[in-house]
Amino acid sequence: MYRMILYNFRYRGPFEYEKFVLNTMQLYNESTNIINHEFDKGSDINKTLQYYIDNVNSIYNNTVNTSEELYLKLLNYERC
Amino acid sequence: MGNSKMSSDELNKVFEKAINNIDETKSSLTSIKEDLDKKLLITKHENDYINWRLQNIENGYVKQNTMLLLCNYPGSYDQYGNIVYPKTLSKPINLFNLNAHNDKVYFRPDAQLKVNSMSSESYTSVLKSDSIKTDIFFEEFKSPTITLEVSMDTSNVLGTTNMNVIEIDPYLPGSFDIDSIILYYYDENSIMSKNIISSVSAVGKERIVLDKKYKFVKVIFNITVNYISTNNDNVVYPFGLKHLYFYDSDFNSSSEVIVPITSKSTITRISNDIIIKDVFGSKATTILEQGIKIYSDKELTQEVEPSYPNLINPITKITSTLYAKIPVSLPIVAIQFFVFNN
Repeated sequence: MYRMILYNFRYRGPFEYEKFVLNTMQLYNESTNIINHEFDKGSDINKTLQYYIDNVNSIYNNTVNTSEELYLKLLNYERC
Repeated sequence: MGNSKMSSDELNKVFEKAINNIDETKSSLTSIKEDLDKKLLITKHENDYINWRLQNIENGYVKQNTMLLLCNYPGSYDQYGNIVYPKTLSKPINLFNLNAHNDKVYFRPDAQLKVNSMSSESYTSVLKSDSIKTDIFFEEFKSPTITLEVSMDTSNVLGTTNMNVIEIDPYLPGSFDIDSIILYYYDENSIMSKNIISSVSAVGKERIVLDKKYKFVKVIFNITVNYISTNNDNVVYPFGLKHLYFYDSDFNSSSEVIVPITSKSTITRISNDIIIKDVFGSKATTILEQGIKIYSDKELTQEVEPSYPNLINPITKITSTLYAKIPVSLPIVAIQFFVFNN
């Protein structure tokens, strides 16, 4: 259910409605721009973000694999 | 004459789309951040744990040079981690991840994992196949005792409910013990319970093979974490699982592995006594009891007899290597043979 937007423009002066509509449209354009351009696969921001994600994943995978290899190698160690 | 003004309804819709776009972006970035945070937490604990284990080696661990790990040798068997298992006759059926004909995997929606009686999407994701997993389960617990409860809605008859293999792949392998596994299963029309395992210590990447197939209702794992860490001066017990699967498997009763037994000098005889290490620990047994055959040649044509306390069977061939053909009817980690030299 949508509420009526209360403009209350008679107290604000000329062109207030137009400014309000422009602001709303601007917000929509910027938010769509973020999804379609800024975080697009080829964008610089996305490439940088992906670079850091890949680095963290690589360090994570290497560490988890090392821990697993150490466990497997210690299978024939026993407390003396 | 100018353009007609947008109604408040139309403006509301534009505004709502803008808010949805912002929320979508925020949600995407939040999930990336949460995933990275979790991986960094795991990396920190894995590094600390590796250092702790290496220090312990200097403080009283000894390599058992005569203990042979059986993996990576020729034979007919399956391997998971460094543990050797009987070979399966066909691909095991994963109880909660159903393979469709188009190679897609469907997760049973009624399956659930609770940790200390709490539910969460990250807990249940442990049961999901890697191809559809959405979350990571790893937490710093305040207490060393943890209870895992796996259950499903058995009134929904999609897929099989038979189960005889539990596959576990933990983070920080060797850092916790499973004190008991209590299985609830259907027997004719009533639900029975059974403590299927008394204890498994230093659990790593392994499969637990049950004595027979059970109609799965629920499984409870009682776990004790032995590794202590700190977070901002608070003592924590880190624990997590990469996955926990339940399989319906049929095994090949003729599974075997062929391993070389090497010595620095000529082997004159081999003792009948051996030590077998499995997921539950080590036990003393004999070559005869396990049905193992010993050979003095690689082609496995010249069988040799082991020696007993009151009967010595010398090996006539001059060799420093013997070959053991070991039947694999249960999971085996390693075997220790005892040989005698000149």
